This record gives sequence, structure tokens and C-alpha cells, in this order.
Amino acid sequence: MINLIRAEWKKLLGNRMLASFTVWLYPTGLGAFVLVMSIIHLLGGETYQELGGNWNEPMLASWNLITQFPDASLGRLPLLAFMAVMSAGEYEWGTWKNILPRNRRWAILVAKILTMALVMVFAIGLTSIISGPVRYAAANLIGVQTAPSLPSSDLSMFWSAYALEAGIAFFQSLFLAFFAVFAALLTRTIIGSLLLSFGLSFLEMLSPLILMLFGRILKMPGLVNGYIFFPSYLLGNLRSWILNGVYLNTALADFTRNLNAPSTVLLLASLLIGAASLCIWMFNRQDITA
Amino acid sequence: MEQAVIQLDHLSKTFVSRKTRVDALKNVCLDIAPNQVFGFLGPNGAGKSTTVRLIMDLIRPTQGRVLFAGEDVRNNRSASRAIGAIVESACFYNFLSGRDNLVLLARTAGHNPGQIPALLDQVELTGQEHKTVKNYSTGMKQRLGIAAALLGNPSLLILDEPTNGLDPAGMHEMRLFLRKLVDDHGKTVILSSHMLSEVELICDRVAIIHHGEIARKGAVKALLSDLAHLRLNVRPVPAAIQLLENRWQVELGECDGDRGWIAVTAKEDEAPAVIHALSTQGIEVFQVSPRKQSLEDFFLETTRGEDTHD
Repeated sequence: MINLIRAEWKKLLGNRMLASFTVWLYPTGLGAFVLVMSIIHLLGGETYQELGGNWNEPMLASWNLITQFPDASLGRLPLLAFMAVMSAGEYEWGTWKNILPRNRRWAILVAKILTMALVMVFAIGLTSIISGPVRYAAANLIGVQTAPSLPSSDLSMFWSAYALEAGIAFFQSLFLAFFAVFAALLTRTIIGSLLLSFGLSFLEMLSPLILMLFGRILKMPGLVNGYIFFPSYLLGNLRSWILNGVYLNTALADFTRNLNAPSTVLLLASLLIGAASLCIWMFNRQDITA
Repeated sequence: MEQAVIQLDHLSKTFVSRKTRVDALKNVCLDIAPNQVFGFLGPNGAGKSTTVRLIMDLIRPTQGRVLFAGEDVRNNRSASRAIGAIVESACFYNFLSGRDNLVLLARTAGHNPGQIPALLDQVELTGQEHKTVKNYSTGMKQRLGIAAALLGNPSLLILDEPTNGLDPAGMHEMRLFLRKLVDDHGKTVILSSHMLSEVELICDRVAIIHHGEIARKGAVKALLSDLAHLRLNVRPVPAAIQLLENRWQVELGECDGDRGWIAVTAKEDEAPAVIHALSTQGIEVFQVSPRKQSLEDFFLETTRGEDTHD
């Protein structure tokens, strides 16, 4: 599996043109954007604290790009596009016929999904690492006073929260990778895969609103409780249990079901295993004719 | 008898879509013995690529099975790893270098990438390996495809149009290279090609697939000698035909009055018997010439002139 992941990593990041506009866009583009915006705001008289807190806060907030609504609604799209192209591309470029005879299909697919999720986390991780120091550098450049150093107790809390956000982002990335792979398996075209995976991502993110809407139309207000079966709820709920020891407050009307931490983990694991099984089952049945 | 390296055991494949149903292969049985170059020929859509894809487990048979060294390729993943192939055309990640493509394929199969420099040398791509594949010529891609097929030192190579994009010198070298793989390294090569003169020069045995069925198979020399012709210029033609068609197959050629050409499906060593039979009956024989059939003639006769691409 390690060899397969290494091969996949080489392939994914070897597509430099695509990776520049989708993966490296986050650390470089966002880093540059934050630097410019920080300079503008600081020159406009804002204090370092008014920019959004100490360096630790933007570092944590970077993970929202793929995990939290509304940041993730657009924040996910470039990475999702990257994964959709790299999955469906195997069909369009005719490369499956070279790859598939060399190992088991399930192993190749699992390696692809894992590696794509790792690339996502790597890109957002780099973004988060850059985003703190970039604002610090902007403040130093202009001569604005920065915030005092964090006390060691806050620092240790920060690293725990950071590890949690990175973990949540990894699982969210896995689900996004499943969307991309599922779309590629179904459509076998890059454009079809792009459209379908974007659609699935939006559907997943807007699922509580969609469920509420259908609940109203069908006069079944309890339908919104179906949100507990969606990754964004489960990951949010897990974060809430770990950080605060309580379930996630969704603030959704008619939402009455709340899951405890073990049930959340169990459902999350079932969803991951189910998604993997579905993709592997589809892939194993497929005739590779391109 | 030596065990076949590949056995197609009552292999059928039907592609079904919403509106169409195509029987690409119909109950094909074929044994390919090891240590030879085996030619796989067929016109467009005959089922060549479908067969290759079935051997490589890229598509699943509707019926039957493919055995590699006696084991079903579907149940034995190590079997398909012992087969190196270029299926239809060599496809690579254009954004990666030739070397990186090979490294990626080696890692996927769990092979040691350390063999790559030697393989690149073997296909004469040393010095070009760091260029991205999008900058490769067709011939370079083809050679890279052969290097990819040779990764892991497979005992069976399946090559679709291996001389595509090569110049005459390159084709000659490729022929020597493939022959060397068989003669010196004990490998088996299955190749499909539309260049029938090439196939005739390099293959020990061939199978012609037509409309999803094996139309002819056998050793190249035997197939061609079976269909060798004698061309005779005789007078009177009708009497000669009447006399010879009891023993051989006779076809009428150009005639000028009662003198003309006939083609007799007799081997070269039967010429004295043919001439003797004619002369004892008072039929004049003006010229006799052997006419060996080329593989191309044989192929066209078998497939009735359809194109050879699949």
C-alpha cells in the first residue's frame, strides 16, 4: 500500500500545471492574499488584534476552507476539481489499462482516495502554517505592534485544537475524495466528474436546508433529522464532543435527534466503509475499454 | 506436450448497452505455447483488442476463462503481473517524464525501480528519460511502452502494433529485439500488427480472428505452404482444368483463345506430378512458376479483404 501511495503521490503532484491552479493555489495564492490584505488593513489603521486575533486563530481558521460552511462552499472546489480531473483522467488518458493489470483494483482505488485526501490536508496544512506568520510578517513590515506571545497553557490547548481540526479535515477530505472517485466511476469523463462531484459536495453541504425544505413540502418536519447521516454533521458533532463535551447545536428548526460520541464514530465509520465498498464494487464490475 | 502459456477456454464477450448488443468474441478456444512469437491478426472490430483486454483482466468475460500457466487470470493476480503488455497503444501520463512514468508503474506493481535505467537503455531512451512524455515522438512513446511492458521481467509480452511510428531501421531493430527476447531469454511474445509483412518475418505461429471467432491458426510456414500455388500456362485450358481438378483445386486465369493461365493449389514439390499428368494427356505446358502466398494474401483470403486495424 505504501508503494501504491508513493506512486499516486508522484502522479498527483506531477501534474504541475493542474496542481498549481488547484492545490498550490491555497498556500501561495491565499498566503499572498492574506499578506496584501493584512498590509492594507494595517496601513488603514487597524490593530494587529483587529485583523482576527493572534497568529493561532488564522491557523485554525484555515481548516474551515474544507470543513465549515460557508467557507467550504467555495473553498473545497479547487481541490475537488483537482481530484475529479485526476480520477476521471485515468479513463480519458487511457492510463487505467497500464495501471490496473499491475495490482488489485481495490488497492489501487483505496490508494488513490487516501492519497488525494492526504494531498488536500497537505495543501490546507501548508496554508494554515503560512497564514499565521504571514500576518505577523505584514505587521513587522509596517511596524505595527503584534500581540504578545501565547502563554504555554494556551499553546498546548492550541496544538490539541489544531490536531483535531487537521483530523476532521482529513476525514472530510476522504469524503470529498469519495465524491470525486464516485463521479469518475459513474461518468468516466473529466467534465462529467467535475460537475457531479461539485453537485455532490453542494448537496452534502446544503443537506440540512434541503431536508428542511422537503420536510416542509411533504409536511414531514422530522425529515431534517436525516442530517445526522451526513458527513458534515457527523464531523461537526464529533468536533463538538471532543472540544466541548456536548453534541453539536445545529440551530435547525425541528432538528431533535442528537448523537452521542460513540454513535457518531460508529456512523462515521459505517459511512466511510459504505462509500469505499460502493466505489470498489463499481470499479470491480467495470470493463476498462478506453 | 509443453503447457500452454495462455489458454483461451471457450471465451465469449458480449458488450451490452441500452440499445445495442455486440458479440465481440464467440466461444474462442486457443492455446499459445511458450517460447515463440505468436501473431494475432484480424480486421477492424474482429475482437483482437477485446481478447487482449480479457487476457489482461481489464474486461470480464461473459463466458469462459483465460488461463495463464494453467491458472485463471481472474483468480491469480500474480499471473497478470507476469504479463507485460501494450494494449492498443502506449498511453502514459503526458505531464510526467518517461522515467517517472516507469517509476510509477514499477511502484504500482511492487517492482524495484532500480531496473529502469537498464530498460531505458534497452529501448534506447537513455538521455531522453527526463523529458515529459508530451514531448515524445510516437516512436519514443512506443519504445517507452515496451520498456513499461518489460518492467518486472515478465515471461509473456503482449504487444499491440509494436512497430507503429518506427522508421524502417527502427522496425528492423524491434524485430531483432523481439526475436532475441524469445530466442535468448525464453520469453513468449504475442503481437498484433497490421503490417503483415512484419508479422510474416517475425512470427512463428499466427491466429486470424474474424467476427469474434478464430478463423485460422497455425504455424506461419505451414499455413503459407498449404496455400502455395503453381501457375501454369497451358493449351487447351478446358482440358487441363478438367484433368487437374480431380486432384487439386484449380482456378482459371487470363486466357487467349484456348491457351491461358491456370492456378493450381499444389505445393512446389508436386510440380513434376502436375506436369506429368498434363503431358501424358497431350496438353501442352508452356510455363510453370511457383507462386507462394504471402501472409497478406492469406489474410485477405481469410477475411475477404477487410481492413486489419482493430
